[in-house]
Amino acid sequence: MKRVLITGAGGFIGGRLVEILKETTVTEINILLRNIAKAARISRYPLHYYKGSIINEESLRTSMQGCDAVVHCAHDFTNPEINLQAADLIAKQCLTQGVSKLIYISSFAVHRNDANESINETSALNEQWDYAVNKIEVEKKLLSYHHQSGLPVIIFRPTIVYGPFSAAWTTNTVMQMLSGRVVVPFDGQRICNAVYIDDVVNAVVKTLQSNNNCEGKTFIVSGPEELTWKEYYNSFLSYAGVHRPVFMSDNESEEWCTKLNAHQPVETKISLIRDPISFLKRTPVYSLYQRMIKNPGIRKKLLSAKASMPGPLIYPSKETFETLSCMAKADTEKLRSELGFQPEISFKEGMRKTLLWAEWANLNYN
Amino acid sequence: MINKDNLKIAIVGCGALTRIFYLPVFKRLSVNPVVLVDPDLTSINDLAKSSGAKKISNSLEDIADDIDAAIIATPNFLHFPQTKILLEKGKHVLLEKPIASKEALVKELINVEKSSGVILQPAMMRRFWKINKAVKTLLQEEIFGILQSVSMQEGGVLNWPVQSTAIFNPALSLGGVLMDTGSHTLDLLCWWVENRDFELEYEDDSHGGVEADCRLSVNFMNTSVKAEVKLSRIRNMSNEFILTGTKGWIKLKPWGNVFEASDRRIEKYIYRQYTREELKKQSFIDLFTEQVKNWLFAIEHGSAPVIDAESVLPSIRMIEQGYQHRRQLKYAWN
Repeated sequence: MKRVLITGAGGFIGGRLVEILKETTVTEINILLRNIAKAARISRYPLHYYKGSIINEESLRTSMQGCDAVVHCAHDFTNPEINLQAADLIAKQCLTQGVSKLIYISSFAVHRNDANESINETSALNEQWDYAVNKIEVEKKLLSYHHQSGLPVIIFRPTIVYGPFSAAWTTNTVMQMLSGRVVVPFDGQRICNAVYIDDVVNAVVKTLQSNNNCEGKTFIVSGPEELTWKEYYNSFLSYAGVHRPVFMSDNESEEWCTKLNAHQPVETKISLIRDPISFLKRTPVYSLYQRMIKNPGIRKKLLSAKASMPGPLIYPSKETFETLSCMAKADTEKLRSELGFQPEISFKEGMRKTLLWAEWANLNYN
Repeated sequence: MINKDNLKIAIVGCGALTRIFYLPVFKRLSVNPVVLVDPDLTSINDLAKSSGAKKISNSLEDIADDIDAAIIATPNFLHFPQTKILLEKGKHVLLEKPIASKEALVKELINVEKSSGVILQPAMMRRFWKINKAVKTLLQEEIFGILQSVSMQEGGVLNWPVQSTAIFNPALSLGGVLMDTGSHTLDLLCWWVENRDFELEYEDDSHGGVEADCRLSVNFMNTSVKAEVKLSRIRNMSNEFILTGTKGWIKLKPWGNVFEASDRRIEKYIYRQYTREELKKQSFIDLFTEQVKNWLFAIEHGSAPVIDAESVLPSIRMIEQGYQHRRQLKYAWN
């Protein structure tokens, strides 16, 4: 593989892919980015930059020139139509330019996770969640090009990807735990199919480097261990200043779930004992507090009193609730048997690295 | 005496800096640039109309003889050659940072400036923050004793509206966060410390591209002053400058006139120079305005610019030496 185009290289998975490819291979890398500022992390390596959009045919044509492979990591969270258009244009351009491999980074979220059985690539799909539906549509589009025109596409469905620079499952987790007590349903005992970023990226690199007739196939990538959400959240407790999460009982979780599914308002009854900060925020005490905190003389005392109170409760959104309610373990057998790749970074080791990064990244300065 | 209203000024390079700061400043000062220069003519058509510029061009050489002065806000690698051409032709220049990548090149520009009798003003606009000026006099008058250490942390996850990929191309940007943010940070350090002799240690995270994170330790010779500078484009930084003397300390933000001091004496000293209101209301656009006004004043009156290229030499040398003695910054999680 001499040259590869990476879309979404300014993001978490694309960014680490650039790092590992540049550190372990001599591959030339083209990157196509709409927002150039996002390339700051990967600009440490010599790259070929193309400023443009994944739905601009000309941008794709020029950035794909001379590439043996394309890794499509970009995903527009604001407009699902863009992701479909991009899939269409990328597929056509790969076929026109004779690209020998197209890897698409989809998501494990495409699967329903509410059945108490392991999930493999053929398991039922999640038609409820907009993000999952969009990913499924993109997968289908790319696979239809494979069946009709021989597009050499390989699809990865990574699970909960954590690690340095992860916005969703590292930065966001730490930020939430710094700002309050994250509420985790089902006593935190449901399954967290976590995978360290390097396992995902190494699976991609291995696929780029091998000739293993996997075109048209889909692979789940998940970490080597079975883990609960309690273990996941508790592993962040060594980060300075974070609040301990609150684990919601099964009964409370079921009630919460029913309301979410029925699109009923899920406003909680805030109690002084359980969530004093949120409770006081709804009383005249809060406006008094806001006035008093402006006084430098008593500011310190007020802040110290606030710090000694338990942080406000942070309830999960419907999508996060579903993720935290996962009943099923991801099955990575196909990845091992057909691609010859076995995720190997233990959660302990992955979290050790992640926390080193989180400390360096000064997430608490935000 | 030259009248600024008759001055034919070009703005060379029409990226984010020109759009966000220089053109609004020109409007504020009721000065119209006569020509905008940028390789991408289509993108500056509308800009020319809204700014009152009579002409656009994609070639500095084509218009150089028709102007009196220029603001250079192009990618870094063009700063030196474009400025040299203009100075040689007897044109005044306000030059964005870094004014050059090497001390020898700055000296070359100074020589041409002197022989041509024109004004070259480096755009070190941070020196116009009132608090930074106050710190300068605080240090000169040893209000918090003899300076012992300077700790400077600056940066954050990059969100500047970058228009071009030049910023990440080492051949065009001449460096990463040290060359970019560091030009300002180290200029302040050198301006405050006023000591041109130093030795340094430097490490950054570049792997053949441009560095996104770096650390610089400086020992100023024949003094007790040590400085520790950390810059980043990819992580949150405290964005604090802390200067510690034998009798106290002051803590500042890199922007805005926000400060904290170890005692009332230092606060009083600052408030004697500037009122709280004056400190509070100064904005970025005010800095650029003051910078352009100073440059125009120097041109009109034939006087020395408030900031001259000579004063920027130590910080350029610091950057140059940093890159020369660079060590690899390794990330513990990789």
